Amino acid sequence: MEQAATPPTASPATQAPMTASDDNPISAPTTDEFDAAHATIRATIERLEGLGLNNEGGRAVVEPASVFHWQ
Amino acid sequence: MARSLTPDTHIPQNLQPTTWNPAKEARRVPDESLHYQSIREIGDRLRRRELSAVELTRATLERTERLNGTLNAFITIMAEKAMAQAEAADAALAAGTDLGPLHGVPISLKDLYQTAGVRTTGGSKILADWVPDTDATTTRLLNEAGAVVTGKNNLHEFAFGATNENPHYGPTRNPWNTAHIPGGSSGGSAAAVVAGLGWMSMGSDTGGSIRLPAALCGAVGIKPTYGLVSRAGVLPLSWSQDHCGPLTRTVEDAAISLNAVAGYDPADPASAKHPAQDYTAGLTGGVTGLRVGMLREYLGANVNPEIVAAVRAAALALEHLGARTEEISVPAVNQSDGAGMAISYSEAASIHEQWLRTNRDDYGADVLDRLTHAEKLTAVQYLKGQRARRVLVDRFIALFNTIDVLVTPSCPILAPTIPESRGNAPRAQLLGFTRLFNVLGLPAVSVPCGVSASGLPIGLQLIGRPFDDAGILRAAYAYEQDAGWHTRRPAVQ
Repeated sequence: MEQAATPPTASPATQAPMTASDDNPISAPTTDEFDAAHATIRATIERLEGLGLNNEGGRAVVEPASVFHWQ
Repeated sequence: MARSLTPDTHIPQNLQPTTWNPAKEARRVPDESLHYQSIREIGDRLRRRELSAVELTRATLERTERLNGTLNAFITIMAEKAMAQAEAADAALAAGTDLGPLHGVPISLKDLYQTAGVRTTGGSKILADWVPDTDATTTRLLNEAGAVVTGKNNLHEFAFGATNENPHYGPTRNPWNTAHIPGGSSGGSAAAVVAGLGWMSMGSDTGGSIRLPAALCGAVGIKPTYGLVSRAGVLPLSWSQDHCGPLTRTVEDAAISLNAVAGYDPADPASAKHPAQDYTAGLTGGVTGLRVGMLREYLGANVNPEIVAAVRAAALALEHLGARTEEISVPAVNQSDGAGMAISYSEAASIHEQWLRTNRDDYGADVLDRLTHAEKLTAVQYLKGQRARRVLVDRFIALFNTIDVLVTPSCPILAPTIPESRGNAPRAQLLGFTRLFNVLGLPAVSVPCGVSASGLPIGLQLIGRPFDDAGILRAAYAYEQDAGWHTRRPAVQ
């Protein structure tokens, strides 16, 4: 039976000292934080239009890459 | 628990090496420098019978047990299985069967790689008790090469993050300063090889998850050309951007490892039918006449000045070695972030669709946050990413008509502390210089190129044409041997 690795219980001499921030785990974002982050993601994706995916008349001139584009 | 060899251990006569002394073998304790020798040096010692695979594996396991409490680089340590593999390796070598450079060499696997009979958690709570009954293709290839797998490395949950702060198994810590992240998502792999807990670890890279931890930990990490190394049996994050590759301490070790795992696999629908190649041949060929482009967009004001200085010095070193370097501009990279995001997020949401319905509460907060964003993306946004991908591929294929190797920093920032890494700004920056090359599928390797004033490693990224993995390794090797950063060791207690 393979054993789970020993949980991290190193002594203070060998591990970085705990700070107040270390006591706070990663937490879920608030609704406002989530909405703001999602707006940033949408805007980042929208910037791809700058690569000329559509022509000046709005016609789509670039089709998607194949998933297996090296085959 | 490992069985110790004693003078009473019976080894059949036909498997005993002619000069093997069981009493001597059982008592000898390898010295500390052993853990930092190269794969080639260790292999030579094994073949000269200076060292046995059992002895080597026992020493590696003991070091792992001693340091894992500090580094948390492993989720599972496979002591019994590893000792059995080591015994088999010794017996085979003694019988004259030599499986190649990795025969008898301790390695590890990011805990995304299926290992038959050994749990494969994906760094998650959802798969905490999953024990696959089959190996990943890469696991099988490494077993067939005689490698000794000592354990499964800690990672960012489901590989969907860049800090390796795992809420279920604890954070992995950077061996150079344990207050700092090692980078992710293959953070356990990078920490393990840099701390001398094995000679290689297989990682995965969807947006930078091999190259980033390699850079932040002072290791070598290669994301091979898309399709070169099989993804079969490796838990996916983004089908069209997942790449599998090794993390090591040196470029030669990376080339040796790539030899063992590269090749067509019918079990992987994205596997490339590329002819077999020896990635160590020509490694010492040098860089005379090599056309090297430094990407101006990745050397700007948003990059840590120490990192810019180190990368510029590396380019100068390549020039002194005979390469022709020039600064080049590809403005499209400033608009390209959304491509990797649209594609990887959408594909990840699809991969996790069922668990998000049935096990939503079992995800860590940051990964659930990303997956929730991903669920809200539309098909039009996903396709925008794929359309942009076509434009970017064309631009970079054209670029490689004028250069042979592109160099950039591997990361624009130094490794943040673990609390700092929870901020949105660092998290957005960590993969800023690696993600594009997952979109493109081009081979990319990170090698150490300096150390900050605060003692943190800096990585140089070299990118090449499709299937010119040997070319970027050759350039990386020439730089590495000249600069010598790979000889530094962290003082992990």
